[in-house]
Amino acid sequence: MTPRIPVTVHGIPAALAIAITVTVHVFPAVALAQGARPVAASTPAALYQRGLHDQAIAAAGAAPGGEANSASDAIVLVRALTDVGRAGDAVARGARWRTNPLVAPALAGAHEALGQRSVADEMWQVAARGPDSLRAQVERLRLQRDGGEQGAAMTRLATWFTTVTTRNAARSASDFHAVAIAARLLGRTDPQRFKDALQLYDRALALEPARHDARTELGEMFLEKFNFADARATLEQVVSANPRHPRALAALVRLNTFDARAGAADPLPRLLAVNPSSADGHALAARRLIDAEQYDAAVTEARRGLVTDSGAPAPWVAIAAARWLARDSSGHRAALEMVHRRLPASALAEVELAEVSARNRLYADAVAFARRGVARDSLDARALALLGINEMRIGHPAPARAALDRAFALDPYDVWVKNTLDLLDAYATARTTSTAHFDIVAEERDADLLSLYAAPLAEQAWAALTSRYGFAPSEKVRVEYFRSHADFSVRAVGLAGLGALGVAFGNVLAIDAPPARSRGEFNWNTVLWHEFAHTITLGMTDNRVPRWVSEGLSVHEERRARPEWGGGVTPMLVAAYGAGRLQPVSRLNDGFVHPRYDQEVILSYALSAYVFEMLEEQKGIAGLRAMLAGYRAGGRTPDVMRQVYGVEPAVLDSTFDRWFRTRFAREFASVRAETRGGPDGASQVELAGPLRDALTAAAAAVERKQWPQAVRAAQSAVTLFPEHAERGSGYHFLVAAHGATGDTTALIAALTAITSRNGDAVDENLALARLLEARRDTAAAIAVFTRAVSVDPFDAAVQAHLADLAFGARDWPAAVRARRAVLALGPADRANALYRLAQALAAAGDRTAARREVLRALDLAPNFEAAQDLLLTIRSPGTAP
Amino acid sequence: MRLRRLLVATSMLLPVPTLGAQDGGNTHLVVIAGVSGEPRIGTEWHGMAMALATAATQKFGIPAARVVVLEQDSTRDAPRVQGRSSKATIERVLGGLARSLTATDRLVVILMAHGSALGTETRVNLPGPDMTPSDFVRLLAPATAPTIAFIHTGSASGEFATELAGPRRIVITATKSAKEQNETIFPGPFVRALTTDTGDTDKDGRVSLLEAFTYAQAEVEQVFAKGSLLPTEHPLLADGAEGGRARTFYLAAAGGSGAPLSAAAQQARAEVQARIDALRARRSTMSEDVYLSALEPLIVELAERTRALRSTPPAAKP
Repeated sequence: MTPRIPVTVHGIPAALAIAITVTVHVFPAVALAQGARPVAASTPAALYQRGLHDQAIAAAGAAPGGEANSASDAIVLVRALTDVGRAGDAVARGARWRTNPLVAPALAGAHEALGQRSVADEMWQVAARGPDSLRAQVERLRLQRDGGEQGAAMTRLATWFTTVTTRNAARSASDFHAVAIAARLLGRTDPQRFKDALQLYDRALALEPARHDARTELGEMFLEKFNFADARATLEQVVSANPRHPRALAALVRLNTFDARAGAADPLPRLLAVNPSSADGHALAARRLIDAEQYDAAVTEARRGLVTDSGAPAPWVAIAAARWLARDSSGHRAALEMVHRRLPASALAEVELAEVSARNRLYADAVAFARRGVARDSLDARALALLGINEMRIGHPAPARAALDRAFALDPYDVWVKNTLDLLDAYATARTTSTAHFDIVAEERDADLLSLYAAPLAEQAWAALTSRYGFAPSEKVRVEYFRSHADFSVRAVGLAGLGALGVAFGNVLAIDAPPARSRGEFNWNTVLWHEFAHTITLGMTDNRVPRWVSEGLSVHEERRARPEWGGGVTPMLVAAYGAGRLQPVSRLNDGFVHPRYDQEVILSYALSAYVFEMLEEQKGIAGLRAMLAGYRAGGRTPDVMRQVYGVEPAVLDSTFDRWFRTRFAREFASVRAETRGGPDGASQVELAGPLRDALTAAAAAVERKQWPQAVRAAQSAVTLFPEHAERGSGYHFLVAAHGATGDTTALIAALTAITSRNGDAVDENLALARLLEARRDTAAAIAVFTRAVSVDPFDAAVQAHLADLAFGARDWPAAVRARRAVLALGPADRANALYRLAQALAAAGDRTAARREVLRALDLAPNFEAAQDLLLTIRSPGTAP
Repeated sequence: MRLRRLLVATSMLLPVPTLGAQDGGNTHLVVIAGVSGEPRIGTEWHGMAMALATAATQKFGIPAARVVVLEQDSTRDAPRVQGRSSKATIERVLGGLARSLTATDRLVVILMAHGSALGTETRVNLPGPDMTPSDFVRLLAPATAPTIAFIHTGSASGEFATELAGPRRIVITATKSAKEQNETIFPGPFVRALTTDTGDTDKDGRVSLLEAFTYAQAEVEQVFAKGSLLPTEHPLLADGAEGGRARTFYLAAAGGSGAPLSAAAQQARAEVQARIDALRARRSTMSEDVYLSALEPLIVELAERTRALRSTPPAAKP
């Protein structure tokens, strides 16, 4: 993936947003207990509602033996103990209330936490005699479904739902909550029920605003539909009333995996503090370790979630995923079997495994798991969605479409699916341009122009990288360009808002086309090179290469390809590194998968590339090849580094640290980081030190038009940090000053310094080219114009100017390419554009192509006399056009 | 884009009588620049109005007496600007013309003005009272016989295409509806196309209204595409013949900027052109290679005839 902004996913769940709106309730100052009766702030119920579990347990279990004196206290006691992971105690201390229908729901929860489904069912039978009778009926059917009788349970639930709603049988908050749960369950085959569920949750919460479980379920439903904004608002309402609500905290952890808020407090430690044996909490923690490729640690972590219930599905799914990624097939199967034993007809494990596989770039595995999920439960819309999305990622649009259509029919509120289907519709007319090794796909209107530049560059990348790595993809690489960043983002992750510029799914690459972003913001050529390097490293390792290695090598290859590509060293990189804000090499993957602050991902890209620069210095490309072979064989980073480079992780860390500080000793001396508190409470790093002082002085002098002072300060900045050529660099102040004083030679030098270091700098390239042209250095001007239009080929005026310049200088290849670009840009005077192209082709000696293009011109304008003359000339043997 | 393709495709198939200046009768050009709102726009409109007036007299051969320019500031470039672009003046000028034009005359009205929509009513912003499409309908109502080209290059102009459309009418607007109320890009490229050779996309030496429209439309599209901006204007052309009438409506006389051709020469060239048109009609049935191979000898013949004709001076009129 090629980033520019830390990779976060912000959902724009248009479909659901239209269908579902959340009612925001205002909590009363005093929380209400079950049944909506006001309670004093210090009652056990009030303490529990605020998440003061220990105090609630003490207050509610005041009877001898720690039991409760009343049914209401028993409810609090059992719930609080269950919440903190003491479900066994809850059952024991609530035992004498087992026949009480008021307490039975709480006891059912405790038994379910212990994995005792049949006992939980008995408790709901008891509850069915009391005020929670509707809830009891629904919960019993849910338990029946979880036990494997999916069809029968759901049929009965549908009948039940119709009966209850037809008779308006729901009266209390508990009743509406029960019907809401039923509606949500029924949504899997009748998506309209999701809308019913929303209304029913709202009804329940209107009657009892402090019914946190119901509100949490509502938040979970929004999360399932990728409506992150409403999910967050709803869940935060719960935790603002009860900061230690375990289920809401778990849902927030899941939400943050999609919609991370850098700097915001992580709810996972809070969840595990409330319930140290939480199955959900440890499964989520294990998932993070899996993402960090610490598979053994992930298994250990997940096992901590099996203390209360040794068969709890979530930790076993995490174990199955960790075992799979560690290539422990038997361990994987055994873990999966545990999940299937508890949830005989569910695709839950397969869905999670497909997601984990996709996150680890194992898209073919993701397809296989999703397919198995569909086989287990053909009505699981998420399994179908993952099947379709991952089929697309590995370049199988036809089966992808079929699976996505089925998923959409089951769940039209899945924004991933809707977006992806919309994208498939929009790109139905996309055009493919084939080269020897690539299929370049773009919208019809952009196809000619983009392929004009992308096709030769792609083949150049192929030649360079397959030769270096001794590996070539077995099939053609498909490169998809998107002129809308939102479309690219949907293609990449199913949602709009992805910060990346490109993504590699192996032999399928998706890339922002130049119009997707503002001019000068990125260079689409370097993105292609970067992503194709992923194709190589993913292919060489059977997709087993760690993220940091693949990204680092891709940036390393960018830098090797062109001096101005790959970003280079930046003041912020050096400052952050110097301040210890970046992970050491041995944990650099965390910088990508668990960034601690906004800029960490992008800085980790830049840093990891230097790791491979250092390693290549040590053992050349052979070392990098051996390293990738090690990953292919299943090795983890410490083993691979030990085998190939003979170093332990700590030694690699210190070796790199010395190398990096030596390599950029001058730069380290010029910057330091200042850490300050940000507006959201997170710390922020700001640049400080001599470089900042010099830049500040230069900026002030430019502002005051004190050009000699500006030049002195800017020159000082350039000396301190010569590689800094991003906007706002010393070179840019030199450009301002020299431009103002008319020192063209110095201006050309400053612009040359920028453009040789900053591959995104279109405007600087254009300014330089014009200066060179004015100086009659035509060859250099053509080269720089060519570099500018390769970054932004959509500027018709510049392309036409370059064509004229190149034609005049008899640089036929440059003239032909620029003329083709002008034509591809859809000029109003197409006949003339065709004629000018034919003219350039003829001058270049390609009479066949020239004849074709001039005929096309004359087809549009038969009386076009200049074109007629050119045609007659081309047809005359021995005549120079 | 779709409209433009449709127009070009169908224009080849529909036989529409040519409406060039060579038909006889007089061509009248009325250029109206409304309230600009800011000096920059006022200057641009004035420049375009002058370019049109100059081209009319010097390039298209329209006598100065039949060219009227009205602007918000009538003192700016007098006497080339003949009056203020107020409703009263417009009513006097257009009303007078509408009553006096003959069947072979042609009237071209080019409006550069901001538009607005109040409720369901579209207005052109002028010094003093604004004007509505129905005002222009009323003014031009007496002129049923002559051909009238009405071009509104400003914002919120789309309704004019609906209200002014009619037999022997060509209406061009910069926007497709009154809801598109941003300052328009359209007038610049449209006037440039009409007054210079850039709009002569079929290279016959003259710019038809269809060519000018198509050129401006493409330029507008490109501006929005280049900036990845949501288009805020969608030009419209309504001539009752899917572009066929505008394709043959020229301000310039036939023959273009090159040396004039004799009637016989034109006839000879037209004969080849007819065979090219016949080939074009069959184009969809053949591959591009086959088509171009079939086209080539016809083009060569046309080219050779053109060369020969250019080297032969036209016969003197008796």
